Amino acid sequence: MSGPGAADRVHRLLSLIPWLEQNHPSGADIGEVAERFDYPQADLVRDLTDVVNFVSADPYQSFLVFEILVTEGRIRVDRNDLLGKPMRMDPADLAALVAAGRAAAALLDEEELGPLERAVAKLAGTRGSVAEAVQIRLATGDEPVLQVIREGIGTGRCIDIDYYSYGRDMETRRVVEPHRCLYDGFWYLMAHCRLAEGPRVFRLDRIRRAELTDHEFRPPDAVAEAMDGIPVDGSLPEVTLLLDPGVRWVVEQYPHTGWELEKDGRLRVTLPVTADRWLERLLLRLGPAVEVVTAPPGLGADLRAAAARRVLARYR
Amino acid sequence: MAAMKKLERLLDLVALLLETERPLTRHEIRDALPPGAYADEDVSFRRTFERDKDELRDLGLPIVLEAVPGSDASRTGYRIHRSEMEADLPALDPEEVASLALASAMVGFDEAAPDVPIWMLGGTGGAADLDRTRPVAEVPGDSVVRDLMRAVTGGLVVSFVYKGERRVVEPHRLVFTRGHWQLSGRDRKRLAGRQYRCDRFESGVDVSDERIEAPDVPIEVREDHAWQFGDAEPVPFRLLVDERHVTWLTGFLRSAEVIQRRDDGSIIVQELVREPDAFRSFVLTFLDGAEVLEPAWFREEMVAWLEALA
Repeated sequence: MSGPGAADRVHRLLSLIPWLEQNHPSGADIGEVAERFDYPQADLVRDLTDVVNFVSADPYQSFLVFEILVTEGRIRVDRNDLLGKPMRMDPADLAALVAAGRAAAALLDEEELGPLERAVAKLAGTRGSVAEAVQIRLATGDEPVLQVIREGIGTGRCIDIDYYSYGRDMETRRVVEPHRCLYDGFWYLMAHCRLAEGPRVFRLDRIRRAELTDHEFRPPDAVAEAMDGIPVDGSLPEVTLLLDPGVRWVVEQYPHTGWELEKDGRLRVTLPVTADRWLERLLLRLGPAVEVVTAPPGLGADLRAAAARRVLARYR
Repeated sequence: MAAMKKLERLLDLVALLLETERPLTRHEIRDALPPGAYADEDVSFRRTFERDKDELRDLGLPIVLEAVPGSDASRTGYRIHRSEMEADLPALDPEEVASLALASAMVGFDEAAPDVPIWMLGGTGGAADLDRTRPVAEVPGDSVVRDLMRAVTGGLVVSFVYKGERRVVEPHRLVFTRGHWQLSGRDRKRLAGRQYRCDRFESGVDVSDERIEAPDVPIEVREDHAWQFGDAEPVPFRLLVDERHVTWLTGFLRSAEVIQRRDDGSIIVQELVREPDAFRSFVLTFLDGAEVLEPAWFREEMVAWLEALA
């Protein structure tokens, strides 16, 4: 049996029948109804004619509660003695929907906003204070850059950006072909970078300037999946650290190949190093709370000492 | 045809439980459904009935267990109260439903979470097709988040392990911010408001049946930086930041006041700090691109910290 399972079909039918009766008393196109309720059309026709029309609240089926007419591609509810209104939505689902609606509103154009704002206001109004209980906050201040990028994607034109590379601690000017924007804690742009001559991912809060250019590009047939993450397969240099229990956040925040609890309560963890500057920051921030156990040449205590001296120079 | 038979049985069961004027015992239900709907053999019947009941409840059908009137108190039966099942949602026009479908496609929960059933609103069916210009946000929605959503919308007390301790919390808000879900509420042991990062829970969430009144003044989720938490008096700290970090910093430190913009593009900002150690960690992310100016004691601490590492 393809399509939704029996319980899911019950769920859909209990909403579909009263909805159809109220909104389309003279019937509706069955294809449209199937699409609306995400119900395979052949299954819907069969379920309505072979099952729903025989639903009964007594053992002898002497009292049939529905009469649904399915004919010539149309569907009409001629009798519904069971269901007054569609099924109530789970409050958690409703709260999630309101939260998603509010979050998406920040990403829509002015002319698109009206219907969404009305819908969210109607739904939130029915739930009172509960509607505030779940919130999704995506607004980050990156919206002006996001707008330029969207225009670039929509018109197939390149973007000229000044980008600060955190790993290398330097800013570069680049022309990029924008493909897609994704939010994953921060907003990211997936693009083809003409400077690096390859696909790159850029964090929007590190784009200092973004301008639409007249250079056109051919959009890719498919955009590569979002950030694949940092490989922990040994393809990058790795350092092994002993961390005090108070800085356990390191293993929660950064990719690693695994960690072990030592007898003295410290955590032994091996981390891939994507860039020297990244490791410098980590070692300086952790200070005496970390001991470098093993590191490739140039990535251990020497790196930390050199970085500390460089920062100290500012203070002298 | 097993699935057809099951669909038939589930729909008949819903019809029966909605139409009945009193709670029906399990055996009365078997007798009231068409012959063959459930097995005659008791163990098999009971197992199938329990599974049906659980599946329908999972869909949101409010099947309740109540004492059967006129019998001794131990005799209980099942029914569905119509008023608890039917939607109290306002009518949405097709444009409004379409906009919600678009919103839920743009701001979607990850694969671990089921889709929000837009079609329950008489919706547009499956997820809206997004053109490539649409930004997309994927929000984590694992079982912890789903349980907390249910608890926070239903006002149900929860418990979970956090930082090695079992917490019992009256949940007020569940907020996704800066890439993480945060729960705020009243900690029953500490008798005070607390905030918890959900990806740091050390257990699943137990959602109890105990219901709390909606709080008059809910405890809101704070978006403070790490150095702004705590009970210490806030102290103004001044930081000189090089030009290459200015755009990011001013976006990130919205609460900071820009004291001076210098000719070389660098700026001096002032930020209120309660937790200096956390602020030192933040400043060091700029490496030699930033410098603490004030207070003098913190600048000296910074130098001492670096000298110990140099």
